[in-house]
Amino acid sequence: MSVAVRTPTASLRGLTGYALGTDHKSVAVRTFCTAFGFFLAGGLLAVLMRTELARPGMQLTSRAGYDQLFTMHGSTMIYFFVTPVALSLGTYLVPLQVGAAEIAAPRVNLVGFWLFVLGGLIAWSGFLTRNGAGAAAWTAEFPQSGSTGTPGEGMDLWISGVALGVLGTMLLAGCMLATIVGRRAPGMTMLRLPVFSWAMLVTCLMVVTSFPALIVAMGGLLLERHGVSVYPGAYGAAAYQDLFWFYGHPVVYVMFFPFVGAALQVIAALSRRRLFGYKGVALSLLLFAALSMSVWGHHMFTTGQVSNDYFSLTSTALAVPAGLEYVAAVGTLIGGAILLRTPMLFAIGFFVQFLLGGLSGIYVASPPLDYHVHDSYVVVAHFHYTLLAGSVFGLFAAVYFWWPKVTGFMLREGLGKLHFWIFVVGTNLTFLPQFFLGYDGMPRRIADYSPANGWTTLNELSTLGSYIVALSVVVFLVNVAVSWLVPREAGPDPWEAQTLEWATTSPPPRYNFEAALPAIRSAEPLLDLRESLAGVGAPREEPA
Amino acid sequence: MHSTQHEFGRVQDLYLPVGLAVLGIVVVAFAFAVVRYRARPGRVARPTRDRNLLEAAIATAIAGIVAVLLVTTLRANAKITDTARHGRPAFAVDVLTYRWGWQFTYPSLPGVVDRTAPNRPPVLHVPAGQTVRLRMRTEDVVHAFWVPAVRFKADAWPDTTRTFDLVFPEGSALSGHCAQFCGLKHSDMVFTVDAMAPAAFRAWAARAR
Repeated sequence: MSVAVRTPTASLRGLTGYALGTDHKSVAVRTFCTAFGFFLAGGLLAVLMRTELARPGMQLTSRAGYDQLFTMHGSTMIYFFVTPVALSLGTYLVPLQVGAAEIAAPRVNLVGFWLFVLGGLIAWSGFLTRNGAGAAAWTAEFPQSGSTGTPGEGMDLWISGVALGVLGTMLLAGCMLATIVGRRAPGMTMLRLPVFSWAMLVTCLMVVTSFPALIVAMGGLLLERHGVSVYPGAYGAAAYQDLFWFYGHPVVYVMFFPFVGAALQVIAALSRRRLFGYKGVALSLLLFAALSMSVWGHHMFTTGQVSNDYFSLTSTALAVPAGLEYVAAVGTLIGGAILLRTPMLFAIGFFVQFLLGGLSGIYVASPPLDYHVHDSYVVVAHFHYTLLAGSVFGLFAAVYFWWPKVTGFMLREGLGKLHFWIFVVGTNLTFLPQFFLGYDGMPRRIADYSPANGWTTLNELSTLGSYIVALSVVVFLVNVAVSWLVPREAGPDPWEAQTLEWATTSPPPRYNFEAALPAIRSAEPLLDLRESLAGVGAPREEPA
Repeated sequence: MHSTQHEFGRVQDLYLPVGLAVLGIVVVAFAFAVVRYRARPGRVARPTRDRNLLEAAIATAIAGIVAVLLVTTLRANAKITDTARHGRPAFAVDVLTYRWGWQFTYPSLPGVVDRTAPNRPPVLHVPAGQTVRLRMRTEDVVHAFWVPAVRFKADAWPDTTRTFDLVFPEGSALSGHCAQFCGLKHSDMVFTVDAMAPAAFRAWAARAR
């Protein structure tokens, strides 16, 4: 079977290639590296914040400086790291997993990457202005984000950068969606889509339906700051938050599903068996995504502007699809022959640590509990358990697993396991104390607190934890450097994995597959091939 | 008597044990799987079979837990938010928030004003153990009134008067904080609550007037 009917052009090299190359793999690698750069930058801001908060009194920065630190930390991590990095995994892997030679609309894909880069740089350029960078938190809630609450060009740059960046990530998602819908290889039915591609499909559906709301909110905010009344009075302030959170909650799952898909893919491959409850996962992802559009008001329980009972109901109901994803992970492990390699450690770490974020999410979805903990450090701990202590574990599972496919060589196991355990210690030491701080009354987004509050010890522990997280990232970078300088060849399929990206060379050629694709009769075509060669087993029963 | 901290406690007494139990079950499940099914010489992975009934049963069980949690939550929330149920409050306070401070006035004590002064957080004076009705407005952006001791906060919303009832436990310096980021001096937007026993409160009111 031939896979590509198009005239191959000479691939662009050097700086031109960096700027204009449209190969989805190259766009994905550039998106990943840029996003990872933003992760390091945003992480540096986090370490500065934690250093300031370790002790009462101001040691490092001013109140105005601190407001910029937490604003740019949160914005960088959400708009310019987790969302684009999640989409970069899909941009690289989805065309390979569905057996396509190229992503749909590759030039649009390239524009998406560049808008994301520009958006990030524009938002960060606020640091060069007189009043500094945006300082109205990553949510930029109106009226605080208006021209009297947050004067200065830095805030305008923040708004423009965020809107552009989000538009860019939307384009990346649109191309991926079109690829899944229209570019699957013959035989690749929707119910044979690998679980990671399923997760990306649902992610992209959420992106294209919810991200426009943010662009509208930002456009309105920019107009409002320059004399056009867009969000007047009680209704206007609520309208901004409704628009913002209509984006702001689905994006939480945009930063979660790709890693669920990646972790499940890793767990299946390194348990040496097919995913348990494949259809349950697909169904639960769709249900999850549908519900994600109806939960935004739980961010507004204390505003008095939404129906708290309704949003409590929809938010708590999310436990059902989330539970099915855990069932799939455990059900796949049970009965497997589990290889505890680095990607597997990170995948299991992802599910276990994310659970603290998920369960505390059920807690804050109850208005009587949220009236106490809303906008406190309980919420900070909660969403960092979903994002850093959760999703970033899934990200590293994906990085260790697919690194050999992308680069052609393996990352080191020893350093990888060291990275994992330091990261476990660091994230828990940073965020567990914050549950207690918030419960005891520490609000979020404060630059300072009184020694009389008795919060010093827990804050010191949390700060120590953040340094350990930073150390774990250094170990990862060392691993990358060592593996780069003394490469160990990976070959096409070092994990004996199950999906089509492992049926081509590492890294894959320009149009992905030079040899004919294996027959696609299930979501695990390489496992089918291996089993038929060994003369055992039968593929999953599949309706035609 | 209804109180926000009482309802909070009742709901949390259900949520925390359920959450910890789920956490325990999942951690044990992962640990069991990893130890029992770790690859060793001779072990071959079992082929995967769909178990739709098992999955449906687990989903139903989770939905059952969700239903129990929700019933408790919605009942407690109705008690907290439905001020009509609370009867006639013993005392009323008008709260005004602004960048960056608080002003507390008392309709039954005309002329008595507790307001943020430079470097001195204001004191909110209330009787302890009785229903206090607060009516809150903001002069500018959104702020949030949070007193951790009563496990409650509410946002002060533009062009809106928020009304809520609280019952403060006795204490001369319960801490209060603005919980909604409101700019430069958000960190400093604190107050304390002096919640006095009825006799002490009457004496304070007589002096203050």
